[in-house]
Amino acid sequence: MAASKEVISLQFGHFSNFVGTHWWNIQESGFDYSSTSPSEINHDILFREGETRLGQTTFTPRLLLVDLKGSLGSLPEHGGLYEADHEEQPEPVWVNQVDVQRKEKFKNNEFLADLANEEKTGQPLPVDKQYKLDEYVDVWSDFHRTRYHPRSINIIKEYERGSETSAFDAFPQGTALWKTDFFEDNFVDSIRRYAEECDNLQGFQVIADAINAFGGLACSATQFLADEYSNKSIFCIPVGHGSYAERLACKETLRIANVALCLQTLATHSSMMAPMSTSRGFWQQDAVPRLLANVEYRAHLPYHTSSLIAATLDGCTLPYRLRNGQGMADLENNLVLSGRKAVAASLNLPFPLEGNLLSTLEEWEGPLLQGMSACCDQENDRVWVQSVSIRGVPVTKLKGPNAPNNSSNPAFTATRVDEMLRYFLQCTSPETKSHVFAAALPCQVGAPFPNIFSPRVSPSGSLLPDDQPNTSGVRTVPMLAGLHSSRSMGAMLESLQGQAAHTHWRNLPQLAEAGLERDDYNESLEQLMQFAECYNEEFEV
Amino acid sequence: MAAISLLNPKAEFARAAQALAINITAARGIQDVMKTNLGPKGTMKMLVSGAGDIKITKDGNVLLHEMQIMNPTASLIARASTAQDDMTGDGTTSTVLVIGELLKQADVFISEGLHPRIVAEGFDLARKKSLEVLDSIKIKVDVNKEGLSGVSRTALKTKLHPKLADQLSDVCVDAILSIYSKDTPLDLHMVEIMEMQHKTELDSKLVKGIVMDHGARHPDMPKKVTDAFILTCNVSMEYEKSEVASGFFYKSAEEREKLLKAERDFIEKRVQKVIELKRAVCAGNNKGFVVINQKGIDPFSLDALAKEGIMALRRAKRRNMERLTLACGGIAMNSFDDMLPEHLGYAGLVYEHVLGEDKFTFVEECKNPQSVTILMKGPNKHSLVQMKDAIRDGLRAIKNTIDDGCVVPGAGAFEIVANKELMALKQTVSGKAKLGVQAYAEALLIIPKVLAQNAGFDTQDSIVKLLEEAANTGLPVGLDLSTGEAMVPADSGVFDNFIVKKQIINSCTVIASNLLLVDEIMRAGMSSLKG
Repeated sequence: MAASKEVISLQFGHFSNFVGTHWWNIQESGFDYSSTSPSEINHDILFREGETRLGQTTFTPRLLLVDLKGSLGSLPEHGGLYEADHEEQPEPVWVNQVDVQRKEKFKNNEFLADLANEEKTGQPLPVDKQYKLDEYVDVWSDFHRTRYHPRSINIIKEYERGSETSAFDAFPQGTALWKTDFFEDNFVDSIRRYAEECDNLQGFQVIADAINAFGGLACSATQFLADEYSNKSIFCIPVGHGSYAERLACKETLRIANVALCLQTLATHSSMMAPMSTSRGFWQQDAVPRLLANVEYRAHLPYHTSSLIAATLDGCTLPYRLRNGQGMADLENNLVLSGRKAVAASLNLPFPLEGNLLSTLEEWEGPLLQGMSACCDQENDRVWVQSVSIRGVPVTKLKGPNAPNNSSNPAFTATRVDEMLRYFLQCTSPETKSHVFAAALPCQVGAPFPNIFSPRVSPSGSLLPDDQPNTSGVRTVPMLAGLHSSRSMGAMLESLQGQAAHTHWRNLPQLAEAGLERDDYNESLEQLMQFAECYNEEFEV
Repeated sequence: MAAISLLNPKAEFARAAQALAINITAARGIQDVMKTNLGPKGTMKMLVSGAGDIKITKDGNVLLHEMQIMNPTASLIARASTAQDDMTGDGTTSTVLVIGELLKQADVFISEGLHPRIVAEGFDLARKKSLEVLDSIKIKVDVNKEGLSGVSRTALKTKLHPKLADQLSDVCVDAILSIYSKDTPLDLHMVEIMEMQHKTELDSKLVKGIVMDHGARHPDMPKKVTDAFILTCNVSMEYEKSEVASGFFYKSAEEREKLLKAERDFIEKRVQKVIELKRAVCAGNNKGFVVINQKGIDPFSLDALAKEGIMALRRAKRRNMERLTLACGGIAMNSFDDMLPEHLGYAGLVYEHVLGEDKFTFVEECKNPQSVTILMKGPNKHSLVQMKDAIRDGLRAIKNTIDDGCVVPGAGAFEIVANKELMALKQTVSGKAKLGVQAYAEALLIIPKVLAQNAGFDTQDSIVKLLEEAANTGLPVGLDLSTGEAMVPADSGVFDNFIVKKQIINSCTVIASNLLLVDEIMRAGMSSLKG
C-alpha cells in the first residue's frame, strides 16, 4: 500500500494565494531530480501525478485556490499546463462573423520571461540571478513558478479585485457566495475529484484571508469539509497581511468583526488552526511589524510578508510531510488539548548556526523562536505543548569534534538533531511538552523568494562577519519553526473578542447588508468568548 | 447647491436633468454593447483575456458576467438582467435592450418638459396592458416532443450554431421527457451534464443512464460489466483516524495495537457483507456486481472487492446517489446492516472510458431510467463551456414551458401585437400619461428592430411590414429572419417562454421607472463620477 497520506490544499483569497504561491515555490525548489535515494520529504503528500492529453506526465499540487476576477495577471485560468496555446486550435465555423475583443497581453516580468524561456529551450533558470521583483509584483502570479492543474484555479466572477462599487470585504458575503451554484456544485465537485484519487487521504490544509469576505467563504468550506469528510483532519491557517492602504476607521472595525467571526467558525469546524501574520495585530490599521533578526523585510509589501508566512508554514507542517513523520491527525492530537484548537506559530529564519548545533544552542539567549501569530510572543508565555521543527542542520553539524562521547550530559550523547533539540527545549522550558522534528535539508529561499535577508547572511544561510557583506543573494537557509499551544493565544482571542464586542452593531452596516442578523453576530462573539475561556488555566484539572 | 456639499465639500453630485442624462447614457451604453448579439443572427463575441484565456459567447448573461462594468447605473441594469437569467434562464439581452429603449423613448418627452413621474405612470398603465396582451396570445402546449422542441430550439439557436442547436434541442427535450412524470415537479438536477474534452461538439448525445467522472481504482477490477447489479451506498470502507487511537484509552502498546486491529476488522466486516451479498445474488449466473460508494474505499477494501470480481467506485457525487437510484432502481444504503437483494439496482451495461488522466464510467441500459445524462463533447474547454451554458438554458426553457403549460409566439410577434394594443390604449387614457404609454409602445419595438438589424435587413422597412401585416391579418406576426418578410411564428415553430416575457415586462418597467425618477446622484468619499 502506498505510504503517502495525501493532503488536499485549499487557498481562499488574494493574500492567501501570495502565501500559497511562495509555499508551492518553496516546495518545488525542494525537488531533487538527481538523487537516487528517496527524499526526506515525501512530496506525494502534497502533489499528484497526472497525465496531459498529449500523454506527458505532470506533477501538480493537489490544490484548489479561489480568487477574485482580475487577480490572475498573466496566468491563464486553466493553469496553462494541460491546454496548449489556444491560438493554434481550429475554431469551430460559425455562420456569422465573430467579434473579437482582445485585451492587451500581459507583459511578463523578468522572472516570468526566464521561466517561459526555460520551458521553451530547456535551459535551466540561472541559479544565481537576482530578480528585483519588489516593484513588479502586483498579483501573486507575478512570481509563481509551480504549474497548476486546470482544476486548481477558481475565479469568483461576482466581485472584482480592487473594485470600488462591489468590495468583497464582509464575512457574510463569503458565506452567501458559498451557496451559489459555482461553489455548491463545481467547487465541491473539484474537492471530491481530488479526494477520489487519494488512497489514503489524511486531511485538508486551508489557508484563508481572515480579514475580508474570503474568511466567510473559507469557513463555509471548512464546515462543508467537516460534514462531508468527517474523520479527516482540517488544518486551517487564517492569514493577514497587516498593512492597509485605506486609512478608514470603519474598515478597521469591519476587519475586527471579520477576524472574530472567522476564528469563531473555524474553532468550531476545523480540527486545528494557526493564525499567522507578520504583525502583532494584523487587523489593526497601524499594526507593528515584527522584527526578525537578520531579516530586513518591507512590511507593506505582501510579496515580503507572505514569504515569511510561507516559510513558517513550511517549517511547521514538516511533521506530516516527512517520509518518516507523523500524520496530520497525530500532530493535532499532540497539540490540541482541552479544545484549544488555536495554536500559535513561530519562526526562526535564518537559524544562525554557528559551528555546530550544540555550541549554537549553548550560547543561545532569549527565546529560540519569534512568534508569527497575532499578539503571541514567545517570551514569558506559558506554553503547554509545542511542536518544533528544525530544517537544514545535518547530523555532521550536530556537535563539535571534541565533544566527549560518553559524558553523562545527554546533550553530548545525542546522535540525532531532533534528540539534541528536544533535550535543549526540555532544559529551557521544563514545563512544556515538546515534540521535535528534523530535516537535514534546508529551506529553499532562492528566487523567486524575495531577498529579504540582511547582507550578513551568506548564500547558504550561515552568518558572515560584519565586514564581508554578501552580495549574491541567499539560496538556502537553516530554519526553525514551531506550533505552540499557549496561554497567549487565549489572551489574543479575548482581546479580539473585546475589541469586536466594543464596536456597536450600527457601525458595522456591511455585515447587515450582507445578510447577517445582529443576534447571530452577538451569539458568535459569545461563542468566541467561550472558546477563549478554554485557555484559562484555572479551569484545568 | 446640494445639501451633501455642506457636509462633505469634496462630494460630487449631479442633479435633475444632469442625473437623468447620466442614467440614460449608461443605459444606452450597455444597450449598444449587447445589441449585436440578440437573436439567432446575432454575432458571436470572442473575449481574449490578457493571459490568453478564450471565451466565445453569444449569451447575454455570460457577457454581462465577463464584462468589467464600472458605471453604477450600468451595473444596476446588468444585475437586473442577470437576475432575470437566474430566475428564468433566458431573456438577458432583451432586458438590457428594453430598459435602454424605455429610457431613450422617455427622454424624448422629458426633454420637452414632461415630468418623469407622469412618464412612470404611463409606463405602469402600459405594463398592465402588456401583461393582458401577453395572456391573450399565449398558446397552450402539451408535454410531448413537438410541443417542447419549438421553444427549446428557439432558446438554443440564439446561443449556438444552428446545426448544433437543432441537435442539442432534441437532446434536451428527450432528456426532460425521460425524467418527466405528470404529478411531480420537475427537478433539473436529475439531468446530469457531463463534459468530455474529446471529438467534436456534434458528437454530444443523450445517455439514458448515468455517466460518472471517475472509475474503478484497482487494476484488477473489471473494466466492463454486463447485466449488473448496482449497489449504491454511502458507507465508509476506509480505515481512518480513529477516536480510540488518539486518546488515553489504552495503557500499553499492545493494547493500542489491539484497538487498531479491532478498528480495521470493523471495516473488513463491512466489505465482507458486500461480498456475501454479491455471492448470494450472483451465484450460478453470469451477472456482474458494481458498488458505487459516496464515501471512500481504501486500497485494502478495493483489493478484497477486486478478488471477487466486483467493480467498485468510490467518492461518487452526492447528487449521483439520488440519480443512480432513479436510473437503475434500488435504494441508496446508508449502512450494510439488513441489506437485501431488493435494495440493489440494475443496469445492462457498465463500462469505463479513459481519456488521459480522466476516467469516465457509463452506467447504461437501465430498465426505466428516470435520470439521464447529457454527454457533451468538444475539442476544447471554451466550446464545452459555451455548450454547457446553452444546454442549461435549453433545459430551463423546457422546464418553464412545462411549468407554464403554454408558450408565446417568438420572433418579435408579441412586441408587435403589444405595440398595436398599446396604441389603442393610448386613445383611451386621458391626460399626459398617454405619452408614457406611447413611449412604452415604441420602446417594445426595439426587439423586432434589433432582430431585423442583426439579420441584415432595413429596420424601418421590416417594422412597417410587420405592423401592416399585423393590422391586416390580426394575427401575431413575427419576422422571418431568412427572408425579412412577415410570418406567423407558430407555423415555423418559433416560440418564447411565457414567464420570460412576463418577467421582462415587469422588471424592465420597474427599473426604467426607478431610473427615470432619480433626480440626484451623489458620490462622496470615492474617486470620480465620470469614470
